Amino acid sequence: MSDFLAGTVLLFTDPLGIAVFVGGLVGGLLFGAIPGLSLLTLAAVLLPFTVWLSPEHAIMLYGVIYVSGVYGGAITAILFNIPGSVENAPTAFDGYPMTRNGQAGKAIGYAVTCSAIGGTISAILMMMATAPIADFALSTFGPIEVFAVIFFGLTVVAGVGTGSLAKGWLSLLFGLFLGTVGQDPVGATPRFTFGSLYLSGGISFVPLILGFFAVAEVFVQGQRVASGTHTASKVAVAYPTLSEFWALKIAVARSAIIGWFSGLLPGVGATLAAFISYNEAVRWSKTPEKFGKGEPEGVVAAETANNAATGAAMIPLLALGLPGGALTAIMIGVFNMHEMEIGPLIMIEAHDLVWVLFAAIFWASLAILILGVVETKGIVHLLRIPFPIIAPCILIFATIGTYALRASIVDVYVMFAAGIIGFVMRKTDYSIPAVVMGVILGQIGENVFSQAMVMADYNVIGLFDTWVSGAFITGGLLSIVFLVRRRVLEFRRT
Amino acid sequence: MKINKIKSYAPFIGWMLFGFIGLVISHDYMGPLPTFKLGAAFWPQVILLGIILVSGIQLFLLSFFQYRSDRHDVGSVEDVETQSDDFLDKTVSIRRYTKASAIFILPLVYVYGMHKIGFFIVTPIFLPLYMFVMGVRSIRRLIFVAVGVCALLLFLFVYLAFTPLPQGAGYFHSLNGEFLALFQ
Repeated sequence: MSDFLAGTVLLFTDPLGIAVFVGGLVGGLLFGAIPGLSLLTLAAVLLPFTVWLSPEHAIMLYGVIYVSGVYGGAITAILFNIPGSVENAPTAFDGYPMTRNGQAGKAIGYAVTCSAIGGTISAILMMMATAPIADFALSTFGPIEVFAVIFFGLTVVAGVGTGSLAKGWLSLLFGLFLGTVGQDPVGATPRFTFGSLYLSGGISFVPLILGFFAVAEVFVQGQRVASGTHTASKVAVAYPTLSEFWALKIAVARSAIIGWFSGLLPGVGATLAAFISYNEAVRWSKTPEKFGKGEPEGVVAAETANNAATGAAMIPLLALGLPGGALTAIMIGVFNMHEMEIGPLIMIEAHDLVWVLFAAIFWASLAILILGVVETKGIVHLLRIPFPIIAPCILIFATIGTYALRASIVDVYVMFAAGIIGFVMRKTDYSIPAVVMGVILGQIGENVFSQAMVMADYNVIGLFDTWVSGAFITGGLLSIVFLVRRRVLEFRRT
Repeated sequence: MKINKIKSYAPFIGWMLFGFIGLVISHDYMGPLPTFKLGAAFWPQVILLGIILVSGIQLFLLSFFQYRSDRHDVGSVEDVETQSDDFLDKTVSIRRYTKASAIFILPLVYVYGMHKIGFFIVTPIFLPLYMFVMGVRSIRRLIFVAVGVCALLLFLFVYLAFTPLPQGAGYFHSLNGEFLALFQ
């Protein structure tokens, strides 16, 4: 506690520290919210300038950007179906339908509050037990366990966003298939590339997500404009009430735990956290058919988890020097620029720096709540802009966001192709969330599956070796049986 | 009746074909890898077999039980929207059909134009044109929004964030490059 207070004092008694904190908070929020300007863009742009800052301020700046940027991406996901980054994609599954249902204020309210709760819980846990938790997570969760978690997650995806089990499964399998295009993760063998240099690098998440969500949405709404049936989203600033939040307490707690543990795993972090948490919200819900159509619990699950992952990601970074994702990898660059080595000794050698970072992450999570409440009242008014004006802007922003990724025009073509496929799939009741989850979880899944099979000596029974993997795989199999049984019963009734 | 039957069977036959074609293609890289016995084709083949299995079961159900694949919960948002905006309806006028087509085609022309002519030349043309197709008729509004958005894009992406943007080919590449240098 005294360390935390000391970190807070160090943070807020220095005018430059306050300026860096506020700048990081606002910058992360803005860059996270605008497609094409991800928090990674901001982190990369700022990297050379951190030389001029003290190590404490430089590292703290990146911690704050991480926290506020992850939340910022939820705003455009909710208002315009454009996730600011991959980890905000599940937020759009229910956030955007809520906006279409005239509940934009509530959706943003849930996102703000749950981001703050997720981030704060994560920060507290991070301060309490960095080293022992890092040890536990890294010794318990190897490739077999991560694959089991992903398998468990995938088994429920098929039921999201469509009423047809077959179409849900086909959507998921199509997504998994798209994830296999490019080189295989073990031997770099090109698959389904047809000799194309572009395809051999694999299809990137970003063009697919922007295509399936943003471009498809413009086409769907544009088609309604053409047929004279378009209705604008209602502008509603009503914030969720305390009782509405209280009703979702279990979902918040579950998502915070999922987000926290996912954040600890190097290489997966907030993205896996948001997707798995969303899947679990569907699995635990008494009304899973409401997900994908504007269910607040979907927003709560995704936003709590992806923010809970931010603090957790600092643990392997600081304790073991393992980055959980791109931003934490950039943070290693900041440490290097200041000639500091991260690892177990950093808690002793750079005690002040670590506690300033912890305090900054904690206060940034709380600041999101205040900033978000103020912002919600204003930002939903963006919906007042008529769709014919906002539509080309969405396409341009999506194009910039996609092109900026690796300066490839083919990515932009892929985005528009995904938009057209997404449009057709939506019109024929296939599930876009299932496709997107298939691509993302499939790419991570194949990588850990190949490692897991080698570790299990190519024996499927080996996947049940530890209690964690056994429980998740059994749970996944039971989940499939349960889904099929439910549909058979429904079929018999009708 | 027959058309309806074909309509319900066709997508799943399509999926099956997709699965089979994928399996055939994946044969090219079958065989174990030095560090992974199952080989590069294993994972995609499991997925493609899954596609064949699911579409096969669905075709079986359609044939023997007349199971409706498109059953979903009544009253959902998608339901209401799908019912209300069937733009392929025969009553849709040619004008509306043209407008709907333009909404799809213009963005594709925009990307192609961006590829060949460059972002800085195509975007100020695309922006008002797409708004016009969408139904904005006020000239003042078209100009105001186009200029405002382009200025914002330049400030955010070129001046502030140094974001790479397509510069076109040939003469246009250097033209866009000069324009870019002006702002950076």
